[in-house]
Amino acid sequence: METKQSGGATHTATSARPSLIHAVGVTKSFGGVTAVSGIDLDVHEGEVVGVMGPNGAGKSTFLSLLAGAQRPTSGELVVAGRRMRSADRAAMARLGVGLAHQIPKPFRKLTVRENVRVAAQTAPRARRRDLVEKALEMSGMAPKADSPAGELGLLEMKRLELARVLALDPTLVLLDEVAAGLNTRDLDELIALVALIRDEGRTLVIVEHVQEVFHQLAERIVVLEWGQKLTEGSPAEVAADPRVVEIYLGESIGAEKPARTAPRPTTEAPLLTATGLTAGYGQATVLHDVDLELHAGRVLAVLGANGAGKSTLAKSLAGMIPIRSGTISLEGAPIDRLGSFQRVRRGLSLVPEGRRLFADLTVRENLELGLGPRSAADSLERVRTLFPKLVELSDRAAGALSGGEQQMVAIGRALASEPKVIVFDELSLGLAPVVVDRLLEAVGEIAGWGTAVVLIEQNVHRALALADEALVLRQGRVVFRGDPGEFTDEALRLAYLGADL
Amino acid sequence: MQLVIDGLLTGGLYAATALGLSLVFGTLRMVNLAHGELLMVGAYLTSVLVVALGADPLILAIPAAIVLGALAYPLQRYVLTPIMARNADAPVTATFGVSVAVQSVLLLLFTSNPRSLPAPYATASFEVLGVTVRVALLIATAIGVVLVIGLHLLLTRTPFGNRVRAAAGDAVAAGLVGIDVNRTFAMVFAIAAAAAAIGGSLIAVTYSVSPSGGTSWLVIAFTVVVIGGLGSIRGTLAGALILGVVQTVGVAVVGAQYRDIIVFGLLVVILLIRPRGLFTKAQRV
Repeated sequence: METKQSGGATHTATSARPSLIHAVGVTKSFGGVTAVSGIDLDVHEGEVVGVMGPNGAGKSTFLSLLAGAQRPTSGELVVAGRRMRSADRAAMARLGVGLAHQIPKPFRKLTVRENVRVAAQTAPRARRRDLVEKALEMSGMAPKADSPAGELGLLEMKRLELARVLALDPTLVLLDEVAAGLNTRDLDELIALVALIRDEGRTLVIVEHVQEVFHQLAERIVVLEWGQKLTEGSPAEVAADPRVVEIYLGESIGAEKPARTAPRPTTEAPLLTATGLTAGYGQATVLHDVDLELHAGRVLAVLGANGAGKSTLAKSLAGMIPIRSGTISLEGAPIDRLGSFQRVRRGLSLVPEGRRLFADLTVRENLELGLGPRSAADSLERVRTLFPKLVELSDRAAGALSGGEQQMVAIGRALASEPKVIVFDELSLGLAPVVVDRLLEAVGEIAGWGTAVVLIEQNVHRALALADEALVLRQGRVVFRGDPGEFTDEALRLAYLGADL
Repeated sequence: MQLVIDGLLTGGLYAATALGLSLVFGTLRMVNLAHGELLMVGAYLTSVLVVALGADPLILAIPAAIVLGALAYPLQRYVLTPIMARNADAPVTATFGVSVAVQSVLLLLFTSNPRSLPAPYATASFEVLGVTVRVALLIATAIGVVLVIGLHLLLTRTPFGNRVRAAAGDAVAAGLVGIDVNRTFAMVFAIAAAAAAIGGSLIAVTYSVSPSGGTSWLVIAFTVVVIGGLGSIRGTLAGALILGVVQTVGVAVVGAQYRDIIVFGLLVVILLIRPRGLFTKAQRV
């Protein structure tokens, strides 16, 4: 450690320090898809650089290039002095480049210490024991060193993942969404641990959706979109950049908001009620204590940054994942113990993220599969009126359609069962703006039929323009609910980009 | 020529016996190790009906198929599905357990003596253009072809078939459009068992069955399914005909004692050169 520069002094002129990552025009393609395109970046020793961007922006791919897990298709990339012409993670590990994954996968039957020891294999034999013990100490896992890794809680798993990286005595630490799934208290502890690693003078590149991590740790943030570098700067500069706000909130904030439709009238009893909804995956609780109520003909926009729990809410409502506690009822009858097919038959349909059409079946077959016991004879007629294009596509295989057309089929398939409540999960994800316009217009029409709509949408301004009520999730909790008109741009920025900006 | 005709007709019988395995693998993604026993139970059910009613075995195979399907439905719905929900690989082990248990029950009920189904056409044959054709195998082939075509049409042309294909393609999405996936899969398993009952009865008419005879038929069915492409119904027919011809010609060339070696050898060769089967399009990554 003595060879390393002392950390802490985060505001020294970074350019004076040696460059640990030097990237010029780095590009990575998979077949025809370019995941990372022409990225230039220099990271100097002791720096902490954050990488942010929407889903599919290329963050994880970029990180895997830095870690040597993949080879750049073109461009110049030098990491820790090694020119990255081939994929070789072991070589990078020997050079002190460690990558911590979003989902830790330790050897569950080995103890914590054994797991760290395995990670330290590339270190010189004489130093191994010291490195392992130091990594255990620093990560706070020393007291648990003899427990099997499979018995750890989520935060401890994350600590172990960091300990495995620390066992390399890394000069460069790459963190891939390590904060995902943690609750507020655990998040603070994890941030404290990362800060400790930083204070040892190690260089960090952090990919993260949880903005708190950046606020507390990053000196510089790089924003990626569609594989390209959109901008970079200090956290404050980046948060103030209208282009950054736009990729997170949809349209530019200065633009005039579209005219809002008049709120549809409220009938007395709500169609859909959820109370105390708590849900998650494995050890992670993603959704905490969410209440919602929705009346016929009304649109509820559910907003929040990536990882805030929006899709988990959609999956819980539709029965794709079991809820841990709370209740869901449709027209007063509890449905939370029912399987998803039973909920559809009761009148709650989901248009899932990624559409999930039956790709080998034709459009007509996909739509007909949606027909349920409640469907009237002309329920597909209604779908064809909504999306006339589906008529000419009837005999095409669903998998051969464009994204927008597929989304129409997915909506039509969900509508075929004549739902009373329809949930849209990431309706506009990956679709062109003109297509999104048409789809959101259709959502308005569907609500006009008296259907209650839950709209989970990344395009915040468009969603608010359409909604009668809105709900903002942040780390799995409802932080705001109310009239969409009450949403100031400031409140939105707060919800998406964090409190300190 | 005689060998090729014999092979094709044997292949027709193989198609009828492999269909259930192919269907279950294609939709439930489960290797049913009890498939051989389904064939045997089907044959014994028919045999019991023949003793009781005295009618033609291939007519009585139909009620036997219905009974076996009715027995198979709850096995899938209430035993294999809950096991699958907990661990996706466990049902294969469970079907092996079912296989062993069924063998023991058959042994208790029917002793270990081989048994065949008597029919006037069982040993008959006729000659056409100098080629001898065994009537029972011709009937078996006809039934095999009809079953394959019927099942193919059921899967591709009916609302039920669409539900099956949807559930097989994406069970979660199928649930989201209101399909009861567990029930659909149980129906598929029942249909596969019914087809196996017919296939088993055909075995008993053309050759013979015994409580432990299912295993070798499972291997044949498995080879057919691998050749034809895992889970492809039409591929099953093609795979069966190929295996029948290769086996018959092979036996004539190198001797009957190599019959099983030919089957296994073909299985290994296919797995080496075309692991996804001869008739499955190479899948893009």
